[in-house]
Amino acid sequence: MRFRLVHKLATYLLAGIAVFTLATSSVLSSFTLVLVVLFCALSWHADPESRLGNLVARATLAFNIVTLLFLAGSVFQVARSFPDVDLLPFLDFVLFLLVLKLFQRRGNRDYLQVYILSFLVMLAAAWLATSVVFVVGFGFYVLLATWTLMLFHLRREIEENYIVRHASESKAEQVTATRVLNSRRVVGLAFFAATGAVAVLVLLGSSLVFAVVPRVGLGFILGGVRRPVGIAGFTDEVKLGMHGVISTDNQTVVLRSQIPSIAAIADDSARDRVISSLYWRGTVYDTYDKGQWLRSREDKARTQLASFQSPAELARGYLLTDPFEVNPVRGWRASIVGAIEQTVEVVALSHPVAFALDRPVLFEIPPPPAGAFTAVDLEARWSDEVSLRMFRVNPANPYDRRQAMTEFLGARYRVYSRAADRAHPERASLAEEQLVPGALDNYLRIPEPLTARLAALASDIMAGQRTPAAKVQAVVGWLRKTHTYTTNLKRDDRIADPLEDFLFAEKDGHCEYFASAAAILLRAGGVPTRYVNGFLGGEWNDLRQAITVRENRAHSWVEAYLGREGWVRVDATPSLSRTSRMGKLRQLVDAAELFWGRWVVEYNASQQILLAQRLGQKLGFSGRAYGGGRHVTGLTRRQALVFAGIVVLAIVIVSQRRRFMRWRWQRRSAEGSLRGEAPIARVYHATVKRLAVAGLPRRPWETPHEYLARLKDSPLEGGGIFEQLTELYTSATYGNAEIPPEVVASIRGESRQVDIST
Amino acid sequence: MASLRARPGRWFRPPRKFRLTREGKWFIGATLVLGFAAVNGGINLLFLVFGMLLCLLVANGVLAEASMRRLAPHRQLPHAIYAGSPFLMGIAVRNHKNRVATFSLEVEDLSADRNPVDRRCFFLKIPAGRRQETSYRRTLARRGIHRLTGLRMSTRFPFGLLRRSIDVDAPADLLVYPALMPVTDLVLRTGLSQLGEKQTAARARSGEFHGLRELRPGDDPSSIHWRTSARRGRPFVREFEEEAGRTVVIVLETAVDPEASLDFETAVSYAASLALVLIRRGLRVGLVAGAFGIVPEIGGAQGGQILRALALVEPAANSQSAGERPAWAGHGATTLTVTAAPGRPSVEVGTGMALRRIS
Repeated sequence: MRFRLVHKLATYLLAGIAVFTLATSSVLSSFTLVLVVLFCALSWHADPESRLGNLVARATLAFNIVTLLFLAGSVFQVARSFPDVDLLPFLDFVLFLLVLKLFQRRGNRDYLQVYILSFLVMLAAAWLATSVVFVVGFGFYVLLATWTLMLFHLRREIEENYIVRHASESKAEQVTATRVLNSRRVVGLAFFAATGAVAVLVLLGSSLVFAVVPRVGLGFILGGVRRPVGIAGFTDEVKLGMHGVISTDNQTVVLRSQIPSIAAIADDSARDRVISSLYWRGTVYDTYDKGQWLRSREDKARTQLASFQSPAELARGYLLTDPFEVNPVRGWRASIVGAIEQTVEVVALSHPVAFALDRPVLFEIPPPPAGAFTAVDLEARWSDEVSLRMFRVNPANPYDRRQAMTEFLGARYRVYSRAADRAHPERASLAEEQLVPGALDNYLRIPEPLTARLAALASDIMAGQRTPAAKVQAVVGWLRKTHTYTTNLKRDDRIADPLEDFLFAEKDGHCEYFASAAAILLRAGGVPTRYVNGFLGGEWNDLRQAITVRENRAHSWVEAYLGREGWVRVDATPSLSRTSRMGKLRQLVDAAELFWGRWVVEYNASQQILLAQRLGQKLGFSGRAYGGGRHVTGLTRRQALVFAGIVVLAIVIVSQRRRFMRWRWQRRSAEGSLRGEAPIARVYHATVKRLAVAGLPRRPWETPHEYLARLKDSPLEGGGIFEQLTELYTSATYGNAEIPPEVVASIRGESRQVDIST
Repeated sequence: MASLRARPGRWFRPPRKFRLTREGKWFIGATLVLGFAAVNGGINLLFLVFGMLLCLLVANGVLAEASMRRLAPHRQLPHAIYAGSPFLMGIAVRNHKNRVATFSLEVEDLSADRNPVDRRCFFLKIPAGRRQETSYRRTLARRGIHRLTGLRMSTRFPFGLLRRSIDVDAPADLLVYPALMPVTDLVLRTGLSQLGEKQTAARARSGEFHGLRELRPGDDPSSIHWRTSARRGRPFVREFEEEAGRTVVIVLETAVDPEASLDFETAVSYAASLALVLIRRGLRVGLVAGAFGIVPEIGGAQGGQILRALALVEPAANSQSAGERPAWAGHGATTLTVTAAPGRPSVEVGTGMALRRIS
């Protein structure tokens, strides 16, 4: 392929991969992406000598005006977004410039600007990337950048050396440069293969730099700047209808959990059934008002947390105490007997909810690793809900929680849960009449406008039911019989309250409506309820032996207080069958995403220390295994000496090898290249070599005459012959004189007499 | 002693040099800014990009080194160099590597002070195992010996961020002949009128045996007198007496006022131009310059000898009188005495002791 075309293609691929990598961060809208791709494709035909290229050249002024307007618009949008600065308009401007420069490709400067702009796009992708696909784009970018920069350098050298230097002959030189640029012989497959190998090494080097550079900067101390994952439905106020609509197709991973009891299930189908019925409890709301659920934030509803120090792993434990229990459990060990153990890892969420299987009883937060600048802790909310909070670590006191952070960057913790869909005889709750008056008032509130209609409806539904459990069954049965599950919501705008619309008009909706309806109907029937948002089910990942929960599994249900049975989970939504096992490829991607999140995006000083320790242990250096206190045997004295010797030998070999190589090719360049070109030169060099062996070498910086002059002061036999030989040699070498062969033969014979006299 | 002192200097002088190009400086600046942003922003993925920039810089150095390994540069000197006239200096480079081509190589000569001359040769690509030649045009203003100490090979391959240079020791002396200038027809006519009509274009083995002399470049090998050569240990040739009257000896007056060095240079150029013209016309031409003399001979080789002598002649403080000349300078030869003078050198024609100024 012609060099010019190869260079152009590499440039376009570089720009394209940068845009593709940015697209994986989900920041670009589809419209913007399509526009960029279309115009980039169109610009391919805008070569300087083409019609489109000429048109673009003539419209330079118009393009400049458009550019200024675009810049002004971007600045305005960014300024408008203050104080929450949004720099994405600048990113759009960079993309616009990139497309514009591709249209305006003329000389080397334009190509250089394209490369700089594509680099800025790649930088933006690095800033905004959340997915492991970034590394694929980055890898290709490194490869293409290596090729493109080399080709650009060669192109620039061609144009500089074939055009500029001889201005008076410019026409002739321009023809030469054009011919070279159109040549097919400048670069070939071997060139790209070799430079591709270099690019792989650059990629590996980048990874090494990434792993090794200490993460001790201000950014890491402050917790870093990362885009948290925004998930709907877990804020302090949840609007009815928004949670389900937003979450349905969202594949964003919210949490991953390892549950030993589920991993132990050998049968895949049985395990899938179990996983599909897992309820991950998130946020809890007790007040419904005008189509949204809120928290009353009353002290009596406050979650009770009892903290303690777990001795085994220095973890911080938090026991959720139930104020409604008849005999509250004494001691944390007893509370987890028979409970389901889970290790949960939540991603960086915009709302840091401590998800756990319904109903959690105990949380364990591990201590921050060595070198970490941030730590996670638990915070009590309301209605047995807990959330996570990040703190900056105080080196003097790891449990100092005074420097709380507004950002949440993800957390890993252990939690123990008891099944909440049935009563636990060993943990009986108080009957309602035994409770403090008003203890459950906030769980019985019904909005005023709905009171009359709901009371009538509830009375109809729960007619003849006397126990709370029976009322629950009646309500759930009625809802499932009279209402239909759908995510395709159709609302009657004349009805202000969407719940009223669901109950009395449209009669179809998704889990939020079923849960809200059940909660309010039961309250109307005198059963205290609270509304819960969380996730249902998950996907099993064989590779990691963990359950992955994505946002599209968001679900809502109700908790009803059934007296001595306590708070029991009630799911009024008609059951849907959802597959809970990932395909192999998806498992691989999920595992890669987990690795990506933990070891790349959240890579920090503690992980560096851990890696260094593991590497040291593998190499046999002494050290203690992290967290275990085990002492690992270090190098023996002999091993250390051998290792040091190898290092010294390697240094000596490398240093002397360079000197040897230098001597060898200096000798070749000074002598060998002349071999075969002038017979008299061979005679001369042979004589010089013999004199060198005898102890009078010619120094590399000496000219032949200087050497001759120096030899005249030495005891030299055949000095006259050597002088003659020097004259003949210099005449041939510098004067281009032709020495007849017989003269050469004659002098060759005589030169054997030249020697150092002893 | 000087060479002993020079040796440690050579040891400490690095054979390879690195220099950042302008683009390299910007690149390093951007890398540092990016590293700073990555650290202070706490953004791990920026470290990947930072690592990529660092590794590209390292790769530039490594690839430049690999590209310049096993290269053998060689000068191809021109046939003759005249002061003030452009000449082409040929540079050839052989790539001794078996598989790896060399790209974007620049080669330049190093003058006596080890600084590069103002011209360089560019090789876009030297395939593995191949040799490429190119040349650069140069003009040397001054006659005499111009020393070249070596060749500097440099490259900015592959990314143009660093310039890697390596100096190769390749000493050479460029002998620059005096600048040629037009010789007035008057001088030629007046000079030749002393010489007779018959001219030969080439030297011949005719005439009476004149004597033996040492072999000079350009001599006919068949004229070698082997017995004398064997006895003396050096080649000697027979010399034949040419017809009388076709011998010219150019005498260059070297006794010059130190302040008239420019006039002396003009005189040297004139003498050289005169000698070449006369040689081309088939005359036997010799040269006397101060204490130095070249016996008259015919042929192109004689011109080369005269030019070499004139390239190196220096003005003398103490004058050598016109009468102190070699015997062969007055034996049947016409002398053209060139003397430095303001504006244009003066030329006096004479045979034997009689001199007549003609310019």
